[in-house]
Amino acid sequence: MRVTQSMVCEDAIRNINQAYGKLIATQLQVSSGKIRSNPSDDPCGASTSLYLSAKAGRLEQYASNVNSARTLVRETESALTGIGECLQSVKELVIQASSNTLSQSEREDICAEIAQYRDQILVCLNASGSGGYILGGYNTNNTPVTESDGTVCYNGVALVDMDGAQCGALSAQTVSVTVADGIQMKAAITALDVTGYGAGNLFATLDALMLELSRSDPDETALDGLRERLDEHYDRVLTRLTETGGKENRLDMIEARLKKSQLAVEDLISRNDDVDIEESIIRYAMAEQAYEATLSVSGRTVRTSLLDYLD
Amino acid sequence: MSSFYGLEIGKKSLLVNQKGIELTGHNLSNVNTEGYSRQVMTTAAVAAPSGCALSGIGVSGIGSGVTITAIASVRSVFYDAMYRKENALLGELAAKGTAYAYIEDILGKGTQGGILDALSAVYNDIDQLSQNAESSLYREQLVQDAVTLTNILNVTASSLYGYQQEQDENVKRITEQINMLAQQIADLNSSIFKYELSGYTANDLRDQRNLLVDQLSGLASVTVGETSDGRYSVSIGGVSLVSHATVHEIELRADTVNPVTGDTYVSPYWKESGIRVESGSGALRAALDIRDGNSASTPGIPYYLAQLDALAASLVREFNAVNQAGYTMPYGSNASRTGVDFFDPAKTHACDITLSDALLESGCNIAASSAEVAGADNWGNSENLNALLSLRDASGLSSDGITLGNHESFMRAVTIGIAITAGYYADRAETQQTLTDAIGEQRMSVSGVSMDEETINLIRYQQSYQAAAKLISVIDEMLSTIINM
Repeated sequence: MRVTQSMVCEDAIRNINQAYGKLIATQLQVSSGKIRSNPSDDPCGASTSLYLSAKAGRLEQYASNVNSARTLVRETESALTGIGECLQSVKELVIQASSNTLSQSEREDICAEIAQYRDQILVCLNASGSGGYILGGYNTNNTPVTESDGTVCYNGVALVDMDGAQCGALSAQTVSVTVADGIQMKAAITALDVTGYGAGNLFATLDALMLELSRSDPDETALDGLRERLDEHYDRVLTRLTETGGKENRLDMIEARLKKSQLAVEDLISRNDDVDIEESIIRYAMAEQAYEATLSVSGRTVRTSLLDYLD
Repeated sequence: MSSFYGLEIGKKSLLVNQKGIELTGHNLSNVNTEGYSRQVMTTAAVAAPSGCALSGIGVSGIGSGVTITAIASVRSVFYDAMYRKENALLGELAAKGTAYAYIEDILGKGTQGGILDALSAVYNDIDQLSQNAESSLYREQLVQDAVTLTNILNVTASSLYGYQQEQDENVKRITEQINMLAQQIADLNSSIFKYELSGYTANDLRDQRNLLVDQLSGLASVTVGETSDGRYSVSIGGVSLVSHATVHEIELRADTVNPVTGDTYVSPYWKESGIRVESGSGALRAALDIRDGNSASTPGIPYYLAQLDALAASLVREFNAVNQAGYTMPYGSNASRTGVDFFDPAKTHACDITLSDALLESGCNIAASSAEVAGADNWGNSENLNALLSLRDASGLSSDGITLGNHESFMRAVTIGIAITAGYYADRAETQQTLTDAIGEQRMSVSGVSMDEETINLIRYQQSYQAAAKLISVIDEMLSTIINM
């Protein structure tokens, strides 16, 4: 094959460009810290990268959801604790009042105290948190539990008039939070889950107790029945508290798992996208060497010709 | 035999070697001229004149020196044809490589600030809002991020339309260039033909013509032919572009209308027959494919726009269906309503998608609730938002005959699709460059001027010249000897 000067020159230019291009590409990797500057450099890796960053975004959203669910659960817990304490006190007062040694006026004093606790329970049921009233279901903007002329209403419906179906429908109206792929959780409960419905609701029971105790001669059998109902209400509050505690435990577990997944995904993202600095620097050094070698060899080849050896 | 016979031989040798030195000079001075092919001189011995076979000493006649038979360009028609074929493909692939890289850039690379990011932000906002449906802060945040999404879609689509227009300009430019080159080739054809009537070969003009055809081959696939009497022709796709001194022009006719923008695009047609030009490969093909390609096998701008339009249309349809089914939150004097659109239902293309006026007016018009929001009821109801949220993980969405799966996975697929195409064409362009370079190098190995070779020729002709001069001086001395006897 004949070799001409312009072939040598063009080869030299091409080789220098190639070596320089490689040098620049490695430099870009080192300085950006990323393996790919364009998805087209490696569509397969870029696809993994997109999938992983979508996954990371989701996990972050779930973590934020878990946090807001936890806030709601804690707010609910403190309201329930308050109600539980009130009922505990009411129970003690009722036992105290049931003793035959007390006079009617002493019992009336106790009733006044019970009335205080009843109001306190009402306040607890209307507790509000960061997102409005916490026990109001979908009603977050207006006081959920209201009382007028002795009738207690939940979201405008009188508790005494409520039947099971209505209560079920209303207490199901709580926001669910997505805490993991396909897993939804109802963090909140409604006031109805505490008060019960119909004639035996918490407030009706308390009212009946007070009415009975303030009589001159309270009916022992009626009182026994009311005490039992009071115990049932108290137990229900305790059950709700246990449930809420359970929810918090579950949130803890979910959060721990989310954190683990987040770490795993971040690790995968880093493996998929990030440059191994040591390796890149070595590759940069190699590219640099190749570039310099190309320059040196090309420089010498292009410079010489037969004319150098003629007088 | 004449006593001056030797002088005649010496004179011819002097002239021939002088020509050789001049030719070497011509070659050397064109060592860097693009398209120049080296010229070589071929010589032949001149036979002894007939009739003087006996020179008086009983031997046959001595030949009468040297003569030039030809000064010819060294050129391989085979390499020329091969180079042009590969160069046409290179013209197409290089242009496509650049175009797809640009489209990849426009589509936002799928990372920061792209459509995909904006989509995820909208869905995250919906999730956030579903936990606090009464929060006007979260509602406004969703509206803002939805506006960002529509803006990015609008900007991306209009950049693609802009690039489509640019490709249309490219078609015009390339067509003009082809016509111009054709005219130059036709002019050279008649010059070469006239020059060669004298019997000599127009080496340098032929080199110029070959260079023009090389340039043409980057724009479209060309084939050339030459009749035995030296009439040269160039054709594109089997149709004659130049036949000897006549140019068959290509003209532009508006034949494509963009259904969305109403812009008209032009295509090249043969002026005489009115048939569309089939350019084979080359830059013309690339510009047309990028501008008009609407299939997975030739993905052009319309193909990517169709994908964005499918996404936009699906967003409008699905979000509106859900938002219409729910109830808005009351604000000011506006009561809770149902049947409110999320996006403007009349604008279903990526270039014009926008939020409905109701949503732009207030985030309260996001229909989060599944029932009327009034009095104490349903302020925190976000059951309808759950329907929007379930779109995020949907798997069966489709739009305009394009299967989407869900919006985010579709956008991921689009991003990776263009990345694969851009990567493929970048690789092919590089390979094709190497191939074309290799053939170019082989061609240069045949035609290129080697300085070392020419330097040696220079010395060779110089020495022959000196030898011829010596011959003349020897004969001169011989003649003097005879004359002075």
